[in-house]
Amino acid sequence: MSTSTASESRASKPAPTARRNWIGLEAGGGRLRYALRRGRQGAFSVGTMCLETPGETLDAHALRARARRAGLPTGPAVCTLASPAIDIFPLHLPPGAPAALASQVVAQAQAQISYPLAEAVLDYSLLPEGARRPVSGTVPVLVYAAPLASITNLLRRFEMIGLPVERLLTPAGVLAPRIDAASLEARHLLVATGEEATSVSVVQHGAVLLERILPWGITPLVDRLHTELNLPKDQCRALLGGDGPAEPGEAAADLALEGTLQEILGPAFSSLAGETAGCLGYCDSFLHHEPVASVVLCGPLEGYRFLREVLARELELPVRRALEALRLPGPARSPDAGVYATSICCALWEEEVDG
Amino acid sequence: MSPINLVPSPILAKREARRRLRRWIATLGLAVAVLAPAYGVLARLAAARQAEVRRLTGQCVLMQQRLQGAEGLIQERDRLALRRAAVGRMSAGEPAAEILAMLGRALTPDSYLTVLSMERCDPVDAEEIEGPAGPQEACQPVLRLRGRAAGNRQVGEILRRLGTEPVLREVTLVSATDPGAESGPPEIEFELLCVLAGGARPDAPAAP
Repeated sequence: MSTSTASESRASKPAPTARRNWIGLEAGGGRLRYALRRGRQGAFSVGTMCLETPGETLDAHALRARARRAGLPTGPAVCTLASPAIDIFPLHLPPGAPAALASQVVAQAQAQISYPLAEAVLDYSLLPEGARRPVSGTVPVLVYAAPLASITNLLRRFEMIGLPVERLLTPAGVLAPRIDAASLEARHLLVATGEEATSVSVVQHGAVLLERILPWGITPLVDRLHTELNLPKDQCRALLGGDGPAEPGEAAADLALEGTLQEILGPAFSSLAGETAGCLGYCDSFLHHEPVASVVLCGPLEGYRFLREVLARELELPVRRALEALRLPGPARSPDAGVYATSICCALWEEEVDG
Repeated sequence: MSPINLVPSPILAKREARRRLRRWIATLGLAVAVLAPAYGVLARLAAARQAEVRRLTGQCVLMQQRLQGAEGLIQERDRLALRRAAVGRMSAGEPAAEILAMLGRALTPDSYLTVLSMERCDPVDAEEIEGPAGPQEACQPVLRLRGRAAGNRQVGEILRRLGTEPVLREVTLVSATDPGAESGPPEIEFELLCVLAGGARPDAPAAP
C-alpha cells in the first residue's frame, strides 16, 4: 500500500544534517513561491517562479533553465501544497496504541476518499487533548490523503530543479505553530490564500484542528477581472496585489476602480467567508466548542483591504495580517512577508523542529 | 508542530538510502585519502626492511660459507697432522734388513718360513679406528709368519726367541698344526703374529 502514516513518517525522518541554508516552498497551481534562509540568524530572500503555464509541459532541461533564471536556490526543502486534491477529514477512533491507530486510520480512510487506497499517500495527526470533547471516549485524528501519482509527479519535478522535498504538508501545518505566543492557546481561523487554492483552517495550541483546501485562489479572480475589465492579466494581478505591493487596494484606488473591483470580487470574497464559516461550524460539530479569537489572513491577498473587510464583516471576527499574527524572526519581517508567509514558515521549519 | 508528511515513505526511504550511500562513499573516500599515504609510507618502510633483511641474510650465508670453509680447513689440517704423524711413525720403524736378521736369529736349524707378510694399516684407517690409547695403539704394523718346524719344541723355541727380540712387542701363536706328511720327518706347520714395537717400515733406510 502506498500510504504513509504519521508513525511511519517519523520513523523515516532523515537524520539531522548540518545545513547552512533552509529552503521553504509553497506550491499550488503553476507558481512556486520560495523563501531562502541563509544560516540560522541569516537573511531571508523570497521570490516566485512560474513553474509551468497552463497547457505547457517542460522537460527537465527547460525546467532547470527556468529555475536558474528565476534565481531559485537548490537543496533540501520543506514544501506546502495547497491543492483541492488533498482530502482532509477527521476520524474518531477508539483509543489504542499508535500502531493500532495507524491501522484503523488506514481501514477507515477508504470510506472517505474517492480513489483506491493503494493510490493514496496517507498521514494523520492526533488532535490536541485541549480541543477534544471532555466525554467522548474516542480519539479524534485529522487524516490527510493525497493522490500518490500527483504527489510523486510534483516531487519529481522539484527534484529536477534540485529541490528534494524532505517534508510535504499543507499550509496550515506550517502556519499554525507560528501563531504568536500570546494567542497560541486561543482558537483562530487561518486563511492562506494561494494561486489556485486556498487553505482555510481552524488552529489552536499550534495544531491544526481542521483544514479545508478550497478551489478558490488568485488565478480565478484574475481571470474574472480580465473578463470583466478587459485588462491584461498582469495588470489584473497587480490590482489584486499578487506579488506586488502589500497594499494593492491603494493601486486600485488610483485607478478609480475600487468600487468596480468590490462589485466584481465581492461575491467571491463572500463565498470564501462562507466556506470559512462552514469550516468552523464543522470543526465545532466534532470538537469542544470554543470562541474564535481572530482570523489570520496570509498569502498574496493578505494585503487586500477589501478582502479583510469582507472576512471581518461576515465572520464577525477581527482579521489580522500575517506580520501581526505570526511569530517571524526579524530578518523575515519584510513588507511582503505576508505574501510569502507560508514559504517563510517552511524555511523556519527546522527551527520549529529544534524548538 | 504538525507531524504530517505527505512525501511517500518509499521516496523518503530511497533518499535516506542514497544519503547513507553518499555518506559511506564520503567516509570511504576520506579513509582512502588518509590510508593511501599511510600505506605508501608503510610499504616504503617495509620495502626498506625487506632489503635490509635480504642484505643481512646474504651476509649471514656468506659468513656461514666462510665458517664451513674454516671448519673444512681445520679438518684438513687435522687430517694432515694425522698423516704426518703416521708417516713419522713409519719412518721411525725398524728397517727391513734388521727384521730379516732378527727372523734369521729366531729360526731354529730345522725350521723355515713359507710366508712372511707384513700388515700395516693405512693412515686414513688409522684415523677412523681409534684404540683406547689413540690411533697409534689401534694401528700397529704386524708381521705374519708362516712356516714349518721339526716339532712342537722347535715351534716353542722360535716363539721364545722372537719374544726376546726388542723389535717385537707382542708375539702370538696363531696356529700350530700337523700337516700329516706321509713320507719324511714329521713337521709342524705354524703361524705367528708379531706386533712391531714402535712401528716398522721395511723399506725405510737403516738407522745410523
